[in-house]
This record gives sequence, structure tokens and C-alpha cells, in this order.
Amino acid sequence: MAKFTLPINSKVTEGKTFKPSVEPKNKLRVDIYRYNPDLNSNPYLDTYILDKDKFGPMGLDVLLYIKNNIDPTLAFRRSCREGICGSCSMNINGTNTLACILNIADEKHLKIYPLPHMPVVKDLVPDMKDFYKQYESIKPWLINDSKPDREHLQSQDDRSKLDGLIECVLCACCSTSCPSYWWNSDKYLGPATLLHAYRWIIDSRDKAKKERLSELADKFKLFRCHTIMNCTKTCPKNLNPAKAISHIKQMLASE
Amino acid sequence: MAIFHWKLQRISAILLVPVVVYVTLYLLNIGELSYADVVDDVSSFQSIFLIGFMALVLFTHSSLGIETILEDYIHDTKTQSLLVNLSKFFHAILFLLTLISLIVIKGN
Ligand code: SF4
Ligand code: SF4
Ligand code: FES
Repeated sequence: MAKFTLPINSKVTEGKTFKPSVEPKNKLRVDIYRYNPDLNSNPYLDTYILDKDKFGPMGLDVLLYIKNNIDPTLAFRRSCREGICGSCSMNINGTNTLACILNIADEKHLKIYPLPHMPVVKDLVPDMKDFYKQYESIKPWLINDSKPDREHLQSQDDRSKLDGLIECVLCACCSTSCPSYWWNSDKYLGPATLLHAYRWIIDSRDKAKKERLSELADKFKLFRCHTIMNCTKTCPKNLNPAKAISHIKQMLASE
Repeated sequence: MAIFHWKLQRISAILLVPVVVYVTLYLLNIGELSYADVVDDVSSFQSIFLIGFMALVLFTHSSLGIETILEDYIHDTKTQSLLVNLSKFFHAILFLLTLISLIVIKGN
């Protein structure tokens, strides 16, 4: 049975509050989900009262400021700090997003949690193992036995069909915002993986369209998508995984 | 099978749109009709055929929808298939009851 409430050891309790001796003029309150597997205790919510004038305008700037100046034990992933690597995905104020491209200049209060419905390794770091396994399952590489002298050529038209798909940074914001993925993440591939599946299906250089489609013709892998559209709403790169999924369904239906 | 299920769900949904509009308008006007008018409306051969067909579409759509919900939320495969079969059986009974009711109304 799908679980509708948190297990008892996942209930979030109250944590510590860090505040400066003098109340900052340009105040920002940040609540952050903390979980340390070594402590053998429930996750807790730490609160940080910060002076916004001391760091840059992005969500990631806030986290880096806390880690460098207040609490070095805070764990989160980041690398490129410009929305390209997809590592800093997390839930900020109720929406999955990339912390490094989220402008928080007008915010007074941030609530930061790890991506929803994923096992947590530590603090804001979710376990992405199964997500990557699902991605691997769709064979995200070119399948074409012919060996051209140089590269596989593609017309500009065919190349432009991949726009809006190849920009995906595999941050998993979409998949972890999808209720269907929450309930059936072991069987449903989820929007990120399906967007990539579609990207290979329509690539004019790929020769495995039929096999790729028939692999997806499954009531769990693909048809758990009920077009709820959370994926599209949340994608920090403004992509449209729900549309890609509906194209796959249409292709299967018209075969 | 998954594709057939998906197609059938869409086709039945589209077929139900005019039915919902017609039934809503009919019910809004029902105050102006006598008991005999309503009995007349549902007991012609055309009506019996149309209502029977629409009941088939409605219960098929409902059964497919409930099957999807059960697959979403019930993860134990045995319990899931038991409940799905029970739901299908229940919908088949409802369809039969509709047909029997139509025949009984016509007979009176
Ligand atoms: S589609 Fe958007 S939200 Fe989903 S993984 Fe790709 S970039 Fe992230
Ligand atoms: S459209 Fe499909 S994939 Fe996207 S959130 Fe909804 S159910 Fe999930
Ligand atoms: S740090 Fe690379 S996407 Fe945010």
C-alpha cells in the first residue's frame, strides 16, 4: 500500500536556531532540513537568521554562506553554480528547483528540504542511485550499427527537433515532484527518464526507435503518467517532460 | 494491453461528454415532464439501445479508472489483482442491472 504519512523515524523535529548577536536590518530567516544518519535520531529543522547583505542573490549563495560561516556540517551537492550540472536540486519553499539559479533577493523566509520522496543520505543530499539506474535502463546513447567515415550526419531540421530535450540536466526536480513517481518510483520511470527516452526515439540518427518504443509499452514504466503536469511546472530549465511523455503515448497509440 | 487500456480510457471519456451534457439538460427539465413522459422516453427501442450502450461506456470507463487507482496505490500484487477483479465484477453487475431495469420498465 502506498504510504500517505511519514514513518515515525522520518518525522521532522525542531532543531537549533542560529542568530547573530545584533538583529540584521536586511533579515532572512532560513529553515533547513537536517538529517545525520550517524546520530541515529529523527531529522530536524535548523533555523538560521541571516543578514542578506552578506551574500549573493541566489539560493546557493545562502547555503554556501551558512556552510562557510556558521555551520560547516551542513551537507548539500553543488558544482557548476550556473544551472548546468544539475547537482544542487532541492525543495525550496515548496517547489523543487536548482538552488543556484533561484533568485531569493525578494524572499524574507526560506524553507529548504531535500528533493521529496527520496531516501536521504545526509541533510539536503538525496540518494539518486535508483534514479540513475532508471535513466540507464532506457539506453541513453546512440544505437546505430552503421559506421560512417566520420560523424553520423543530421539535418538542421532534425537537429532542431531535439531542442527542449537535450537541455535537461538530470536534476530530478521533475521526477520527484510527480505524485505517480512518489507512489511507484520502483516501477514508473518518471518524467526525467521518459523525456530522455523520447529524445532518443526522435533522434534521426538512432536506429532503435521500434525497440525503444516497445520497451516503454508498459502500464508501469510509462502509463503511470496521469498528466498531472507537476513535472513541467517545476522544471527549473523550463522544459516540458509532460509533453514528451504524451508524444510517446501518441506514438504508441498510432503504431 | 497497456496501450489498449489507455486508448479505451480516452475513447470512453470522449463518448461520455455528450451523454453528460444530455443527461444534465434532461434532469434540469425533468420537473416539467410527467411520470408517463419519462417512462416513454426510456422505453422505446432506440432509447433502450442508446442507454444500454452508454451504460456500457460509462461502466467500462469507471472500471478502467478504478483499476488505474488500485494499481497506483495497492502495491501487493495479489491484493491488487483481487480488488481489480472484484471491481470488474461489480461493474459487470451494475451493467446487467441497468439492462434488467430497462427491460422491466419496458414490460410495465
Ligand atoms: S526535465 Fe527539467 S526538472 Fe526534469 S531532470 Fe530535466 S532539467 Fe531537471
Ligand atoms: S505529467 Fe506525468 S510525469 Fe508529469 S507530474 Fe504528471 S504524472 Fe508525473
Ligand atoms: S550547482 Fe550546478 S546546477 Fe546548481
